[in-house]
Amino acid sequence: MNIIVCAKQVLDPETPVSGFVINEESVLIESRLGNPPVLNGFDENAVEAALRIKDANNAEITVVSIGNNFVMDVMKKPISMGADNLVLVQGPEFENLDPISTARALYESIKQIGLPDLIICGRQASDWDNSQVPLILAELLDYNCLTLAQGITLEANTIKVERVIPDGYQILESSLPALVTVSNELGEPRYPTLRGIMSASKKDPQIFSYNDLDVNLDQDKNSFTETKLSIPEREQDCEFIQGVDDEESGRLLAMKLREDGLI
Amino acid sequence: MSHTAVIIEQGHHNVDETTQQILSLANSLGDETSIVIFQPDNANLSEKFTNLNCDQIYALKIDSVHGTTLPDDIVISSLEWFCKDKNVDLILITKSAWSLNIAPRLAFRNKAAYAHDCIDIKIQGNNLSCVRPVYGGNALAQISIPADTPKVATVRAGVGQISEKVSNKIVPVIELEPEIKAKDLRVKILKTVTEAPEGPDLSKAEIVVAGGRGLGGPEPFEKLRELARVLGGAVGASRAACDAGWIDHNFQIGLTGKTVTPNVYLSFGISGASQHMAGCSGSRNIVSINSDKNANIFKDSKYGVVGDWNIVLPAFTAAARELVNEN
Ligand SMILES: Cc1cc2nc3c(=O)[nH]c(=O)nc-3n(C[C@H](O)[C@H](O)[C@H](O)COP(=O)(O)OP(=O)(O)OC[C@H]3O[C@@H](n4cnc5c(N)ncnc54)[C@H](O)[C@@H]3O)c2cc1C
Repeated sequence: MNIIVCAKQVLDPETPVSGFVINEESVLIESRLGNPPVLNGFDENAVEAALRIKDANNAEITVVSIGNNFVMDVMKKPISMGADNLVLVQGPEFENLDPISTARALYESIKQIGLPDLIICGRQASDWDNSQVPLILAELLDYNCLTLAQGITLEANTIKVERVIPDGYQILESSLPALVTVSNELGEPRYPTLRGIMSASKKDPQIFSYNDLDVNLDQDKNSFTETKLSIPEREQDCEFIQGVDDEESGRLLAMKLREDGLI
Repeated sequence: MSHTAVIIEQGHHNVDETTQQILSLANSLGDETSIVIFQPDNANLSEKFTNLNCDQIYALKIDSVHGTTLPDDIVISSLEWFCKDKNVDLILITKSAWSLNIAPRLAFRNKAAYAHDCIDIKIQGNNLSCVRPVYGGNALAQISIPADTPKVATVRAGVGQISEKVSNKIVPVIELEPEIKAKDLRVKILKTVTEAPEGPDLSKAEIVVAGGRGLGGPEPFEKLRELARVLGGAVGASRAACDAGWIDHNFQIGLTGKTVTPNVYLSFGISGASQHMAGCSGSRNIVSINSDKNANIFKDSKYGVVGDWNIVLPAFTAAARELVNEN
């Protein structure tokens, strides 16, 4: 079975709050600390989901990413975890695309790679937090769409997904081909193995550029006329309650909250 | 003339604060406002909604073969049909684990612009201006959508004023049967399992007691539960604590967990990452206990204690128990 995982390179979400700056020209957020980007966390969960299927079945995993200025160590991580192929769709045209254009570029790339039985995506990217691309991609491909998976099982041509819902779970079922989004509830992504790291260093990604794709990214550009970015100010008027020791602090805090009618 | 429709989450049978808030937001944006509910066969749900301030309620009747929990495909197809049938300009839905699966596909099918997880929406000139946190809340994006573009927006719980009910106005209920084709249903729901945790519902609780990675293990959450019982509150957690397996993911608060808007949010050993604050910054009073005086969470807190929760929490619980039992 063929599995495609969609993955994105993002600014490290663990960057300290003071590190986030706006690049006014490109309307992008950058880190002023120069720390390297990372693979989007939920996409690592998606790679893990694909690898679990590969552990139990005969499967080939291809990771596809759309973007610009890829850092090879970051993008090869799925290979070092055990994925088979990497396709990078890169160029300045793919910088900071809106969700519909990203989905369209993925759609065209996936058609060229060959339509897989299963596509797995992270539920959202930690930069724009849009949580749209996988769902639009499913619409474009006319694939069955199963979202927020914490577990995936396959039986012949049927896929079952355990979906996270508030206070419980659901079992979803459809036929293949299908697109699944995964959430962190799926569990920790595995660490790269030594063998994986070796094969990642030898593996060259397949590169697509804008001209290789039959795509017109302007066709959906009518939706937003403008985007403005700002960094929110956090207020700092915290009143610290301090006793002679932690025990007294705890007690004084309770009295303060009682005084204010909060408890 | 512009038409705004507020979609009520399928299976939600009560008019809660969030519904009233999103409705008043809708009323501030368009001339005509509708509420859309999914009407189960056996209950006359719409009655509960009739004293709200809107022009009409559309009750979508869906064939009972689809069960009580409707599959995404059915919800999307019926709303797609509804938007076309009623010429809707703007769809508003509360951001939730439900709308996350619905809104993007609905917007795509209706060639609508989509703004996810908005914390402010207003008319600016001829455009609709939506503010949404990005980069986990480390930045805000303001997007502007032209008037003639159809739009779908999800709105973070707690945004908008609570609108007054207008009981002297009879709001017409219009039943509709959306056109759904057999082939629309592709992903079936075989089973839905939910188990409400003890105590008040986290997303509606007036007091939330939350713990993070700083608690160091599952046992301290027992102490938080004890405090929650004393205060009549609900227990919550950061993603780090859930990912560590110390408490179930159902208790996760934040960008990708639950949104809470209590009167008091008491945090123990939570650093205050923006993705966590995304789920609790609507709390009226944040009170934090953290051993690091530079922890980010203090920037959002009204009261703070710099200290070790191992000592602060039992002392706080004991004092709170006495104070609460006094009267
Ligand atoms: C796309 C994305 C989505 C996310 N969604 C969410 C989400 O929905 N919810 C969420 O919570 N997170 C979310 N996160 C993760 C978030 O970025 C943080 O990693 C997480 O919130 C950190 O949890 P924490 O504060 O418990 O842990 P830490 O950041 O490790 O903080 C632990 C705190 O405990 C304090 N501490 C340690 N020992 C003690 C002691 N003895 N007494 C008192 N204090 C002590 C420390 O000083 C520290 O401040 C998301 C991240 C991404 C990238």
